[in-house]
Amino acid sequence: MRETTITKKIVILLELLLVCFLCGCNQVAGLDEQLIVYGIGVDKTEDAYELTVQVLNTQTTSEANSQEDGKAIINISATAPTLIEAVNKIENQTGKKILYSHAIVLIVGQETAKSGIKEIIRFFSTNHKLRPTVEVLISSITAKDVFSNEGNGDIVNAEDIVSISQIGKENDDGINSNIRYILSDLENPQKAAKVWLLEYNKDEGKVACPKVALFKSDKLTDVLNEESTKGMLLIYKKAKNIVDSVNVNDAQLSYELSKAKSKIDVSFDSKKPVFNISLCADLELYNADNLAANSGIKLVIEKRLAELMQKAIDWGIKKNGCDIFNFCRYIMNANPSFFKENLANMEEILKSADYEINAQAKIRYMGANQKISSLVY
Amino acid sequence: MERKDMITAPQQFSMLFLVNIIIGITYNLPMAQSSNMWDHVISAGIALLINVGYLLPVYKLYKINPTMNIADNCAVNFKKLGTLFLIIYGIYYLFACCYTLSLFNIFVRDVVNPDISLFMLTLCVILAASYATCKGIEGIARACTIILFIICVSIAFIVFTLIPQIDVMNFPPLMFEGLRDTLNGTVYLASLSFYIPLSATITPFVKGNIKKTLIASTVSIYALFILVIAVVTGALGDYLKTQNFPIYTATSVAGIGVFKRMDAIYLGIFTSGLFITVSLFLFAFFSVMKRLFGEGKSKIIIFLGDVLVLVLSLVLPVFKEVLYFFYDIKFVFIFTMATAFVIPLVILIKHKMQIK
Repeated sequence: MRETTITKKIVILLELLLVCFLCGCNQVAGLDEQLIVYGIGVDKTEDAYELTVQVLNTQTTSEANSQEDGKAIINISATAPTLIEAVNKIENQTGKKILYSHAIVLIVGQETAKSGIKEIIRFFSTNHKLRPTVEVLISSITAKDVFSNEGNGDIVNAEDIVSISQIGKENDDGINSNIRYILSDLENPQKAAKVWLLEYNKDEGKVACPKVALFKSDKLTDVLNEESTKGMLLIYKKAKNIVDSVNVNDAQLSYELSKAKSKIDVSFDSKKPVFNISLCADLELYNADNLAANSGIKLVIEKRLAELMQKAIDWGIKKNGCDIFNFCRYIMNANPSFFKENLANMEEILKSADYEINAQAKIRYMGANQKISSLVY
Repeated sequence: MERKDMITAPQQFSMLFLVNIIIGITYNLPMAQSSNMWDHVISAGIALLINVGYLLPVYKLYKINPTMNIADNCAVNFKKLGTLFLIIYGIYYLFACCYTLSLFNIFVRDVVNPDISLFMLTLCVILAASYATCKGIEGIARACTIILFIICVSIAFIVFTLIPQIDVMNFPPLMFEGLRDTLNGTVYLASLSFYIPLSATITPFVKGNIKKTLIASTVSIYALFILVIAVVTGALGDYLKTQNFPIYTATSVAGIGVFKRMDAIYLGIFTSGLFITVSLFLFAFFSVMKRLFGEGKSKIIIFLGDVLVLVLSLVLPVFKEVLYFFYDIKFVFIFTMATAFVIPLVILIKHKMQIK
């Protein structure tokens, strides 16, 4: 009995001793000792990387000049031959360790992307704190300029940039250009990566994401124009909030997609793949008050939707040989032996393939004609 | 040989299930020498059949004498060979501890937090596991039930949040690159059946329907594995090829609404599962050593075993040359097959011959 009590006391003492070593703060840098990064920008000159990080301004210290003291976020840049050296330089400048766990966007300058993005994305993705959900964007100007662009006297913050790139997208629409999706595309030799292009409007001092940049291997090859980008969004399973316009009887009508679903099937006609792409779209039509509901609007819009998708295929596949739609995987799943036999010249096969595109639209009239919507459905 | 501490069949199920979940978390493609995770659904099916075969001698031995565990069977049926078998089992249980802990250390060092003190983490897990071992299997079983419940909730959350992210185009045709990936996956999955040699030790402590428990745990483990492979492959696609620990990666992208970035919570939950796993293997080691050296000396041996596990778990991630041998799936497969199937089968044959 006495022995048990002594043993219990020893165990309790040991546990209390152990608690002293288990406090999570041991050897851990406090928040004020870290640079909490929201946005990362990378530009490459001939022989050096320019790294820009947008960080939370936790205090008014040496790195923040008097003008920036009151700002919630600040930009810090460093140039070095490698990215790791640039990171090291920033850490040495500020005396703080970079914390990537809050990063939400990685911006790469367009010129930099032309020489390849794999190395850059891999560098950041290997950091255990950086999440695979960080959005990657290509900017038409340098990444540094995007962050330092002051529209209304404020720095354009990473959160706003991400919001801009998210407009018109659903969470699972397959065109999220975050690290996870891009690395996935880059790992697949047949597939081409696609990343939203961030455009800077000098006159308004604003940024927007209306286009998509195409990559061959990991190098930026071309940028889809706005129409082709819309077409690409339509081919990608669920594209919504796309706004477009058509001319009917000399009147310009605008429509907005509220729901769009596409289906891709592949068949083989004498060893030539034939892709059948069908789209079902629900849309809201504006400015059609003076037109009769049966004046062929539906046909015109369906033709326009098919045309947009055709443009995306022409631009992506036929012009640039970039399989952004994962058509190779459709061939692989439908006919594995054909895929294996033609693996080396898949690009040519996709270029010469037939694409049969059709679109069906369900129109909801907005405005005075709203009541007759049900007739058109 | 009446057992004082007894556990129920559902508790045994929860222990075997949890051990496999914890080992499964560190599942990775480089170790499986495979590049296609999707082919492993077939591998899991084949491994399931192999494991059912593995379980037969263990179950038959239990049926012959329900109070004797594998250590008792080795000692009773053989003399010198029995000692050799006991040593093999002792080494195997320590190996299972070191394998699980060292792989977990690599996982923490490479993916979770390189700055974390692996020494402290391993020391804490071993100390807690040793304490649990001393308290007996009943205590471990109770803790296991609670932890398994939390782990199951976490897995359900991960699976349900990843399902909307599944893209059917991420599934390549099965065995597209031939049989190699499937075969390697089968060997890898079968080699991770640490729970069979473990059940050979803990089964005599169980009251209830053992046959159902063993079959149910084997089927559930592989059913869960197939589900996880399907969801992870469908959601992550080719991104998996860039990841060493795909199942952990899935936790970092799983999320719904405000429930995002919960990988740190999962890590805490999985670490508690690790504690149960190590406790069970130490308990099995303790049972074997007790049979080999008697109650008194076995305590010193267990202390030495703890130190060995601690040292090996910390040393293994550092030396690549040793690492390749230690994690070689063929070596692990043979070792597991010997302890799960061959030795119990030899004992069974010997027993049958003695009866004749």
